Amino acid sequence: MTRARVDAEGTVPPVTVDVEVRQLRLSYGRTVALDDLSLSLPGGRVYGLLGRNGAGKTSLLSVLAGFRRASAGEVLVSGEPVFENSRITRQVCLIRESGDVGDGDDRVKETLDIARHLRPSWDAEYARRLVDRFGVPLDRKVKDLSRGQRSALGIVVGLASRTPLLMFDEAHLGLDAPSREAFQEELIAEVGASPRTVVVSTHLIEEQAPLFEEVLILDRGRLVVQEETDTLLARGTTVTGHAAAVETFTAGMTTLGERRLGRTVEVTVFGDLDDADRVRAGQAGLDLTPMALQDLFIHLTDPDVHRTDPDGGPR
Amino acid sequence: MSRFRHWAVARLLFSTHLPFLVLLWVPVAVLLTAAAGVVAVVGTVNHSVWDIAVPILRWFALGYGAYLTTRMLPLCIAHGRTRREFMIQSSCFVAALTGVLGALLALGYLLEKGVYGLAGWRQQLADERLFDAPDQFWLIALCYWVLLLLWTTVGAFLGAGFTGADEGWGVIALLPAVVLAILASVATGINGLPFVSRLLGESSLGLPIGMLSCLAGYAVGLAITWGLVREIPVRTRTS
Repeated sequence: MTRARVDAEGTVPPVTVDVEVRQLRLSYGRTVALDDLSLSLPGGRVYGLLGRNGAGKTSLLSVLAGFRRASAGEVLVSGEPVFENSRITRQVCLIRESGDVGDGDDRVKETLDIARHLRPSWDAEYARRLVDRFGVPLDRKVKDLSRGQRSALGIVVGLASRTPLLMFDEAHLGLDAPSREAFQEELIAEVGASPRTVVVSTHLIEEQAPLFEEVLILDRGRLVVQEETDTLLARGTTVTGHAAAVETFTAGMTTLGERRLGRTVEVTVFGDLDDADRVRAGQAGLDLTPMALQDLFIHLTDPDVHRTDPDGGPR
Repeated sequence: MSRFRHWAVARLLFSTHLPFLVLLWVPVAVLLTAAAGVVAVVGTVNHSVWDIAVPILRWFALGYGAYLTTRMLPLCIAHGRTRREFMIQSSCFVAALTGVLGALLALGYLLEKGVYGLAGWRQQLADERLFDAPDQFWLIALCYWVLLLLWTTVGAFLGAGFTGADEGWGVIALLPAVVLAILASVATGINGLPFVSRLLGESSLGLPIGMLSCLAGYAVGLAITWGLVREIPVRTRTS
């Protein structure tokens, strides 16, 4: 679905676009990066894409941006296939970790000029402001930029492209803390001013978590979790107490992990706890604490954790 | 969205690459005139320095073709353009660019004729050329156009072949690359390739057949390039 609006000046701000992925498979030779992956991203939201190294985040984003052709399955943006579809690809911008938005021998200002030529929605004035804010030297060659400056250039290009679907793949790597904060502020301001679909892939989970309205967790090429951030956080609970009491309380629940310290046990459970559960825990002398998103992510993707899964696993 | 926007890749190449490549002609002309002067100081100028030197530009065309598919194509995809858009628009650009360069090289022969005439030097051209006088402007321009056109295309598909999903295609692409390079030499008489003269003697296809063969070769080269880039992935650069 595509929603177009006309603002007070009569210009058409970026529309939001929906993303639909059906039974996506991507393999590199014998290596399967994505396997039978299906997901749906309604437009106008900010999604956090989480996953361990090699989980398939970059592969997924590459297919969404038309950088690669899927081995099987469908990738639809606004209901249309992405790959080699110029109507769609010009509405999509993927900024990658390497910040390779320009040729290394080009100067920064030439890179911005290339973007101006190629991106119909390019906002040169906004790009200039962002360059100033992130301190990217316009006259320096891209290959001579520091890692952080190259990341900043990628962020400038991504934001100033003003595409309806904007994706950042670890694009903030190398940025110092103030610049990462500036990135968050700019992204929030942009999305607030003109809603668009944004996907941020990151390993800096706690730092970036405030951006996310919804979280996607990939693990070994498969979607493990897609959930609203608040709902997901509410579903992760650490139950701490006497071993026997904890065992009784968590019986039948999806447990993600367990740690023992003498007779005290700490069990991570994934699922909704209602008021009755909380009363029961209190009566048993158990301590219930909400999990941080990063801890939840670690547990949900830990290959060494024995996971009891009575309902078929977290989704 | 205007039709103008649909030719964004071509506009980019015309506005940034064309002026740069055309301006390269000036230092080349100055350098070769100076080289002729040096030869005159130490000996006798009895051959066209321009005629000896400018065929080397085919290697530059080869590299430029590879640059287009290995650097510009990923850049255009990263900025929301498709492989098909890039292929169509860059092909048109290359045809125009090599045409302009062909005309500039032909102009170089004319200017050299003037300089040599003033200096009293002899402007002998290589015997095997399809053209035999420096004032055959259009014929010279045509010869260099098809030569650079074919070599740029060869560079494009070799670049795509060696950087695509399967590098093995690059090795396979070497065969049509050699065939098209030889075709360009035979059709124009602008040789300079090792062994080709010995293999083919001084045979010439003649003007109409030679040019038509080169254009057919260009079409084949484009088809090979498209076959290699149509699903080429954009990889993450690690540098």
